Amino acid sequence: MIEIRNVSKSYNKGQIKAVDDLSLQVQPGEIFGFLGPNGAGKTTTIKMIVGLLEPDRGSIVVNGYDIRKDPIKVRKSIGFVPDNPSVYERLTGIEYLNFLGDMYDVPRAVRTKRAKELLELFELTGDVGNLIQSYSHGMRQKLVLIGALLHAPDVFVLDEPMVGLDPRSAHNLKEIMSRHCQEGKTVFFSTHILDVAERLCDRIGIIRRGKLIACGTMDQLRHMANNKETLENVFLELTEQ
Amino acid sequence: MKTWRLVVLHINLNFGLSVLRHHWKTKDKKLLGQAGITAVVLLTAATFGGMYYAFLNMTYNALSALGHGQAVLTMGVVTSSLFVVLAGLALVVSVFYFADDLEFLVSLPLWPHQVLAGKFATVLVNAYLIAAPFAIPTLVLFCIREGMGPSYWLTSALVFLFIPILPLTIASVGVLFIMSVTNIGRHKDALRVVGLSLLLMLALGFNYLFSSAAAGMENIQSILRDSEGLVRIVGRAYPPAVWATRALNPVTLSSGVLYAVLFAVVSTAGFGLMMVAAHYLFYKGLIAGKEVSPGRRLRWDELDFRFSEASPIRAIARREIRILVRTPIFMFNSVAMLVILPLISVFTMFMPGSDTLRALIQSGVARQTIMLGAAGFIAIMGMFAPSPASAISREGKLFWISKMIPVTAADQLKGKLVYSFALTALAIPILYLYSLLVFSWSALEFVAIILLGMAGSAPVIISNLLIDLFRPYLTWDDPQKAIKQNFNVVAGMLAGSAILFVLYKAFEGALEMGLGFWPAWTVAGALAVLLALLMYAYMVKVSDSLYRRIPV
Repeated sequence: MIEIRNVSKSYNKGQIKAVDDLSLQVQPGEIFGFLGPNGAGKTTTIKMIVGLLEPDRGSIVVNGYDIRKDPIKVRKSIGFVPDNPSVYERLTGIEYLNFLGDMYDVPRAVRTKRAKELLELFELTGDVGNLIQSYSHGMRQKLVLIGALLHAPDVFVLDEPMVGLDPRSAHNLKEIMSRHCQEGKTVFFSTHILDVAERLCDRIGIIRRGKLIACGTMDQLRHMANNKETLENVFLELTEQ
Repeated sequence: MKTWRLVVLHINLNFGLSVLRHHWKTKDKKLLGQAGITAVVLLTAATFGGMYYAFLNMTYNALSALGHGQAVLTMGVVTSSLFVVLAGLALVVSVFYFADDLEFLVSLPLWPHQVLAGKFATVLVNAYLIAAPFAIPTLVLFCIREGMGPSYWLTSALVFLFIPILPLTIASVGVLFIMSVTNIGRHKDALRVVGLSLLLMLALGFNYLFSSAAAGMENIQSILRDSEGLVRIVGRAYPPAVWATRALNPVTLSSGVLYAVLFAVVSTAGFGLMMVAAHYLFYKGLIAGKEVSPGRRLRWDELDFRFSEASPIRAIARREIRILVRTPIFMFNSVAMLVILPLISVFTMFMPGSDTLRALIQSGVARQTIMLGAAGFIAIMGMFAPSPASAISREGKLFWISKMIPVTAADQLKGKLVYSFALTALAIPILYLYSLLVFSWSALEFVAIILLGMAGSAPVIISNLLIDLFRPYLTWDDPQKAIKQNFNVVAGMLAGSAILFVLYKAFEGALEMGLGFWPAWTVAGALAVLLALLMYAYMVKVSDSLYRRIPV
């Protein structure tokens, strides 16, 4: 569960409001899609949820833990995939996964079993012994995904996760997100691929200039726009206003 | 024109001129911070330059009495050139081959030498900063002591402008060659560190052999009889230093102009040669260096044996060591340089003419001082080898991982401490070699040196980590900037030196109070442990709140 209450974040001594009094709740068993134009505040919001940035105001509770009071418990609950898969290039894939396993206290037998499954699913088994430096962008993205899932997090937060993935891997990721949700866990992700959001999400939030301008199920969003045909039409109309 | 635009762009990026302009426009407080940092760096350089001036002044007094005052000019040029080569090697490798923007630059419709000219400009500006604390005191001292006129100032400005060019082009050509021939197989990074280390040893060995051979070839009287004898001896390893001396202190005006032109022309020719080398070798080393050939593909069943478990602190220490060892620029700067220089100094003690020095250091009088120096060497290794003042900075854009993992900042820093101590321990085999070959320490003496050295390194390492914790530099675009162009490293050196000075004073004070050598040794060790514990407690207390404040 993710609970964001009246969160604001600004840069340049308050001159640029990246997130402005944002409140929303994502329930267990829910896939939440976070949409918005470039620079709307999606990544800033995600970074605050996972503890990479501190909000100026408001509070964020993840899985029942306040990010300010229990940061370690929050981080243990979260699996995070950033928009840019930057990882230690001078480690091998397996060293990176072992490192994360040690950080999240995943026992050896469990991490071996989970990693093997995920590596097989994302077709990375053969390459995992090589330096990450030799990986393509998509392979790095897959490794970050596997790393984020290694400790079976209750909350899965992803920033533009489909970028760089081949169609099969993108399909597998969508399957994982659905399965995660069926297990009663929470998925929060940002995307520019409206088609994916429309088909995958239980609810969608649209952010513009730091403010949440719309939030609800696909049907609820359709009611807010004149052109209700696709999410693309709804998105364009709402973000133009 | 394109080359010039590249030069301007790189100087802008290297010194963050656009960022400064932005801070100025937005009246950002960071501007004040940057001004403060610049002031501290300039002050440190000026203090260092002042110390070198005092040393040169003494040397000048001695030499001018023999009619050889101008030899200080040759010494100044040789010293600054040698430092440009030594510091330039790592700088050149990092800027030419590991900067973030290289892939973008390679894709532009430019010749390799044009791209390299832009990169060379940033290296050159940094080389002026390296040469200045040696060259400027020399030029000023000679002017004041010899009462030189305006023409001297003009010539000295010209000489200063050309001083770093030739040594830097020599370092650059060496690096271009090494990087283009080490693209062999999967272990090219390791080969590169070895190649660069050989280049460093070659530069030092060349300098040493020439100066010692020169001293052996001619007797002191014949050197002193010739008014330029000493100049030629000092400049034998590097003849352009002799030309610079003759340009600055000419017999006739025309000969001065001639040598100034010769110095400038040879430096320019060196630059031209480097451009030609760049045209053929630069992209060969660069593009092939980016190609990472994957190893053997793993089978599914093999994975069972590849997963292991460790405590978070151990895992962090292991990650740090792996990254250091596998990043050529970190490895060369942090470890290779600090192992090579002491090893070379061991061997120089067995060169012809070193018998007197060896006898002196093995005598009882110097023995205790040398033991103290050996312990100091371990502590200094703690400051430089793993460079704890850049332990967080080196993570750069990957610091998001450290902020995300569910491990307290205190535990993460403990991992970095373990790693720092592990690398500091590299000093032990070097000292053991010294003991075997030169000092013949007893087992007790050797253990005492290690204990005091490791104890002394503890407050040095923790103070350096604290400095980086308060203000890590994460936005670097080439790895050299994280370790060498990082103010935290300068501040860490100052803090580390201050701590070692306090420990030395405690040792000296204990001796003056009538305590014997070993009790004074224990006092210094106990004070080091106490300082380390206090700093450690403070670091653990503030680490979480400081980690949270670091933006990613």
